[in-house]
Amino acid sequence: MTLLKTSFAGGFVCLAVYLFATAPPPLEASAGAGQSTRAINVTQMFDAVDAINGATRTLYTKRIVGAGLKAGMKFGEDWAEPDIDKGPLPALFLRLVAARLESKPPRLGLYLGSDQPINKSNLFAGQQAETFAAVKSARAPHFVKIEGIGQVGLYPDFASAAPCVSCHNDHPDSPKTDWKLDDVMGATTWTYPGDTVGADDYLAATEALYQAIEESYRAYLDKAATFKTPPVVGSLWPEPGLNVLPAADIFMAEVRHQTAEPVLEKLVLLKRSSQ
Amino acid sequence: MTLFQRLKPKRLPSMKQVRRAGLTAALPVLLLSAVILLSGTGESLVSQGPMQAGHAEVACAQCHLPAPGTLRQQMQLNLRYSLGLAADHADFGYAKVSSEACLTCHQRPNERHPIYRFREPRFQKAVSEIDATTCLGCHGEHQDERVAVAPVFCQSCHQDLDLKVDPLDVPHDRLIANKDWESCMGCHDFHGNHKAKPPTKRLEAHELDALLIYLKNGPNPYSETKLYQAVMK
Repeated sequence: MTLLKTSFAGGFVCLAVYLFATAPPPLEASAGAGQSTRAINVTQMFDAVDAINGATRTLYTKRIVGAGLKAGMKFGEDWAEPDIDKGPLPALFLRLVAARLESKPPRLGLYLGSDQPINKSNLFAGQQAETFAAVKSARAPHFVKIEGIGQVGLYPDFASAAPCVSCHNDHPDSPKTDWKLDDVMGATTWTYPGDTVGADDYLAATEALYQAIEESYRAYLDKAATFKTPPVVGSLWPEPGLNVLPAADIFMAEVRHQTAEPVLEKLVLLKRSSQ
Repeated sequence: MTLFQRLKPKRLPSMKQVRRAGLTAALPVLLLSAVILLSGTGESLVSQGPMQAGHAEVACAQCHLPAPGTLRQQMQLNLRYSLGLAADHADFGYAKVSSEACLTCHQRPNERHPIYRFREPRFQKAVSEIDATTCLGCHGEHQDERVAVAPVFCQSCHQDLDLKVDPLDVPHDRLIANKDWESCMGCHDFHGNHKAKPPTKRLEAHELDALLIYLKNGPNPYSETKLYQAVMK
């Protein structure tokens, strides 16, 4: 019996030494990781990622879709189908980004929606619809906390280019056909489980968004490579008579160049531009 | 002297001898079991059940990935968590299988119902009826079936479907009014990855029985041609 007790005591001591005395660096719990660094209000992060998203949308709409159409390229809802020589429309490109973003930690959600969507599955409902009404009225972002989701930020999507207006007015399934430039056509919704983020998670989230944008743009380039007349991929941007597309690193360099300032500002200055 | 008399012990073993013999026998058995279970030959023994047909050739390690950290770090964190000193526990040994593991092979640009969309606030009511925020909400692995839920889940989101131009001879709004939700998948493949054009006549839709057989690991009624093949990574 003494031998058994001694064995147990020895085993316990060995386990304690194994677990603590010669312990490796502790593993961070997934929840709360990064919170050891300075806490940043999640709305700051929403401002930053929305700035990235907005710049990407403008860049893709004007310099890829707008200029690409003039160069003879095509874009459509059926772009992902095989044997279709088209690229994604701006909203569908951002939907690709949203899907890629979701698979990356930290859990940052990006969604597009409206109260007058072409596709009914994009129709706001519940608290999101109520918040959108406030966004539409104020033409400014609004934030709300929703149980089971966490922090939610809605940012207005303005009709910033003529193709946005004409395409939505002319679409056979559009419930509204009198859109005008600068109308609030919908909102971009951002979600995050916590009220604050650490600086590490802030940078991880913005970097995850950049990566998601790059992966989505590469998906378009992969599709374009299968076209009957594939565009030349290199350093040039499309323009009339020039069937070319910028390579992924060129496209991303422009996205990062245009968004570096707001991302750093929101991280460093702790000052929100929106209410 | 008979054989029984020869084998009969002169005296019964003490409890100490029994314990020692038990320990001596248990140790090699435990070691051998561990080797078998941790090697490939033991996979079928630890599996919770047969895989769905499409995953028959997928190795355990494709989905069951090692949890972050070493075993010692995981034990430390779990001990701290049990004492209230950590915000969350750690997976021990292997990480919990998540939708991200599925998407490693199955993420496609033409996905008709990507799970991330259902994490948006406006789908909360629908998600309370069918957990579409995770692949495992419908696809239960190790149950020898493709889909573990009844094919009526379309009703959670599409009650107010309103088509300006309805291509079907029996209008969709009539099917919805009749609560004929089991008919949806007769024409529409949920994930939209089978190369097939939806029929325009209700009677040309796939029979419910054929669909139910498919969902239980049977042959695919839509089309054997997939628009995007899953790529094992």
